Amino acid sequence: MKKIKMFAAAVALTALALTGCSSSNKETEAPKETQAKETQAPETQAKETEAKVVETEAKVVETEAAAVVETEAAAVETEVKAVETEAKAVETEAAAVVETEAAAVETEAVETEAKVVETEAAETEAKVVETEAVETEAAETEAAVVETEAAETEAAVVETEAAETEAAVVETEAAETEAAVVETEAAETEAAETEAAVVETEAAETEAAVVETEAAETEAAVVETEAAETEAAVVETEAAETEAAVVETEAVETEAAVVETEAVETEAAVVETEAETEAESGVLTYEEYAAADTDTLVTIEAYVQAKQAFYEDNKDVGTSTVTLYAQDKDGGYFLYNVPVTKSDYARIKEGTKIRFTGYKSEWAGEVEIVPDTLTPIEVIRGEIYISNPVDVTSALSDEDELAAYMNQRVLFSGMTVEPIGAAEATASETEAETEAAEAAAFQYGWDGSGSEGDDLYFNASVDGKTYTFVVESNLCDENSEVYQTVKNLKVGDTIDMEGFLYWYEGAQPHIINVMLPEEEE
Amino acid sequence: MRSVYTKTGRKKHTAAVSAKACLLSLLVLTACLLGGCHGKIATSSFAVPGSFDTEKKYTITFWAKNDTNKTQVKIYNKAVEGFEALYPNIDVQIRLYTNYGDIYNDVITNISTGTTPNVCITYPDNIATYMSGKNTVVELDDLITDDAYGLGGSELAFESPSVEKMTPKFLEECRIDGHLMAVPFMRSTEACYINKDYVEKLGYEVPDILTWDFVWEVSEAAMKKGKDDLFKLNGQKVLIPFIYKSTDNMLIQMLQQEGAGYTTSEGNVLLFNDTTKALLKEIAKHAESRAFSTFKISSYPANFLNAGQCIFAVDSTAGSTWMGSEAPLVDISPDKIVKFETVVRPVPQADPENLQMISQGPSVCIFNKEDPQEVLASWLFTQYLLTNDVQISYSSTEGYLPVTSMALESDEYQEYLAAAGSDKKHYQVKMDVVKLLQDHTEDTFVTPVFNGSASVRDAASYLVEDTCKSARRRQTVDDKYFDKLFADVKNLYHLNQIEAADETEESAGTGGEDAEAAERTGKAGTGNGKEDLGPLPVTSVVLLATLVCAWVCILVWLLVSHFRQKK
Repeated sequence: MKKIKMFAAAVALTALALTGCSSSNKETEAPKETQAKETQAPETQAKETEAKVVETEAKVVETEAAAVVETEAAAVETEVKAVETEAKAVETEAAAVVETEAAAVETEAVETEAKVVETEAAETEAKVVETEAVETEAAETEAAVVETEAAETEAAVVETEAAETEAAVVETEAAETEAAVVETEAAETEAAETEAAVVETEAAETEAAVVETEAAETEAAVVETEAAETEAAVVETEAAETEAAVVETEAVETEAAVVETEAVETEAAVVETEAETEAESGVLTYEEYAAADTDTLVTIEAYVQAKQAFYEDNKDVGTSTVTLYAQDKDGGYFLYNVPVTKSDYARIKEGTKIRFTGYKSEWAGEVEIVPDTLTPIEVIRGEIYISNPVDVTSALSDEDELAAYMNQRVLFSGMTVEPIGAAEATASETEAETEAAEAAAFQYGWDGSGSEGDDLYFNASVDGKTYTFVVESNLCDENSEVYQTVKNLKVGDTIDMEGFLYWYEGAQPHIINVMLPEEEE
Repeated sequence: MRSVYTKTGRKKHTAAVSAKACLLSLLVLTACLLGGCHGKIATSSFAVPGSFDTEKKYTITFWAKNDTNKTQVKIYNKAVEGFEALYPNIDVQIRLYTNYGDIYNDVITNISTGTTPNVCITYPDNIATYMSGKNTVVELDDLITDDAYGLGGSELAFESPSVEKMTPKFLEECRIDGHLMAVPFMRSTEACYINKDYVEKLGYEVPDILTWDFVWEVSEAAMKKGKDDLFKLNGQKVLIPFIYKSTDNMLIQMLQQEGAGYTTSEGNVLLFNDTTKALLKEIAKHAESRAFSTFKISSYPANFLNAGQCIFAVDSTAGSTWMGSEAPLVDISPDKIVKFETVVRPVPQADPENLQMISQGPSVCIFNKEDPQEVLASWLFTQYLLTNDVQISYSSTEGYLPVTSMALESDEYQEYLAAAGSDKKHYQVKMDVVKLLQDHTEDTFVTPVFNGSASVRDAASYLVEDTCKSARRRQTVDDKYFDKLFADVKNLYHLNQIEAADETEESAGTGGEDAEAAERTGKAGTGNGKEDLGPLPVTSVVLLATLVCAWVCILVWLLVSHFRQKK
């Protein structure tokens, strides 16, 4: 066992050297040592009482052993074999019982009590074993003593089958829990040491059981008492809480009228205060943001309506970035590739309030906010706002009017799906290809050069004018409902659509929901 | 009592066996750890088989890039069909991409799992990174010269160009560390698309060769506004006289024209120099006045050019079908297109007598596989992409130039050129840029390729973009600004280690002479772009020493136990 331990230590050392995780291991071991020391203290009193019991029992064993030695010495060797055979069977049974009933307590108790019992029992055993070797752990002395008394000790073990059975159990237990002491002795004089260990651990086992039982009884009594006290306290507390609740309820009811009457005034004050706070913190209102020139630094607070592309460790920015549609009650924002921590990205949901400082910019007509530094977007807990779509169907024909709704959640109603493959049809080489292209209600990519998973483009008309709409794959991928719905559209279908008013050289709505008439019903 | 001894003895024996097993396992584990098992999939190097097995079935994957162009997709599919008809036992699975970045990312991911494609369209810069895995990319030196299956080989089922019929300059661009790692597929360059009407309206004539000074001067002259706050030149609210699409190419070409350093073939980074700083200061002036902008800041140059909101638009010749008021492809509504005459010139130059323009365009590389026959099948398909049918049809979709003289000199291609301006398929601007590249092939250059060269290219772009943004935002752009910008960009693209290697080498080998001179003397750099990581850190030394001590203790303990047992 010692060798195994040394080997294990070497393996552990190697593992530590390879992984370099020694510091964390040390941190986790320390509390265990402290805990072990703490459990020793309260058991000291019990040990003295238990020692007396052990002493008495030891005397009995001694008397019996002496008698047996005189009368049955000749039969010892034969009996040892028989007992050992029986011991194996009992060892298995006893191990199961001991392991299931007292594994946790026994381990600690054996370690703790063994030292006490060892000291006390040694005096009693001295009369039988006639040696002080166990106490001093002088192996050579102990070996000599044990050898001379081995026959007597064995006889005692043989006579008391139960003790022998326990010895076998303890032999196994001792190898695991008291390995250091038992194995050291065993390495030098295995036979003598084994027998000594049997006697020592037998007593310890007995004491452990006694201590265990007493402790359990004591604990049960304490628990019962505490439970009764706790229950009483709970009842008192509940009663107090109930009374408090009643009082609170009454107070709330009585104050409600006052609060309601003051609400309008308070709200007005809050709005004013918020406005002042925003002004002080540099947060722009939507009106101020809309009026700001491009390439000026802006700080906005808004509510996320949808997450678009997320790039983990965006190499061109140097951190993770996200693109967002955001909105407040006055207008829409498009935050392009702005820094975000991974945890905040997971936290951001539809309606989440955020604050961000960046530069107002414009790319291909799309007004957006781009980052200035690596400072990530800030998530503001608590407030949630999800916008309602604004129907802008009538504004489709007027680009300037439509631009006022840029980046907002919008609705297009009563639109008719139109063919999109006109260019494809012209370039087709066969009639079949031409027909297929003319009938196509959608295509992958702007010219149909894409494939499943790419952006879906489709046309829809109203009042005789046709417009192009996109299911942006970063916003709604091929597994999304809207992606699948658009793939099933047919030329001539009448649909309503919800989306965000993105801009690319003109309006290019990013559609997130398509509703067919039957769905609406 | 004997039984007790026996029992104890068996336990010990079991423990000893267990200890030996553990020891053996640990030795294996340690060997693996110290052996540097990083999970890379290693493949043995490729040797050309004596013959191709036409009986066995092969499936090869081809990752192709198109310019978001349906016609190009059709040509790829047609090429696959034609090839499979000649080799019925080879099934080509095509996967389409619309940008090189996505292909690069997917290849990198698949190298680690050993699931690379067989054939892949790529940039040489990216191949250098793919080559960080051992034998990942097939060296083509032996393949192209193989009598049976090489270029123009006797056992091919189609007419392939011989080595001599490949444009030498383009073939050389695919050589990395002296080995041919790809073959060119198409070639393009950058061109300046000009609104001639606006230039003349401002009182200038478009010269045959543009200089940077000329472009800056005309651009600034165009920025005058009327009392209505509209630009006098176009009567619109928007005018960006000069827009550049790929700012990495912009800075690289400027540095090349100035004879300043960018990188060396040994992988040294020379980008962060005083010439770069001076060029960026000039760019900043025009970005601040809004006479200059970039694609990343504003949008596609073609959209502004076609809307009459731009005078000089620099973009790839492979984007020529989008350029001009008669362009076959447009991204803005027809009512916004302004009529004007479009003329094409090489990119602006520092020295009109010594033109320097970038060569770019897709190349094709082959990934190694365990079965040499599978690699040979990949090579056969790659060669098929060099046949006249594929070369001429694909190049005519955009302003590409075929890479073989076999195609360039063919009757079919000559007829194609002769029909310039006759219809949309022969769009005049597209034909002009093809001619421009053909006339100036010898004026093109490529940047050195090494593991990390793609990052330096990204860094070059970042320098221009960030300078422009800062200037537009009225931030101070001075030496202090550039010192910080250089440091930030080095960190962002992890260029510090390469540069540290440069400094070490320079001080040791060249005594401070500039790295370009050092390159000529062959003393600079660490070779092949590999970085010298220096001595082990102290913590590593301590850990390894602990490991050694532990094993010495184990061995001593085993020996002592052995002798004690004997006693």
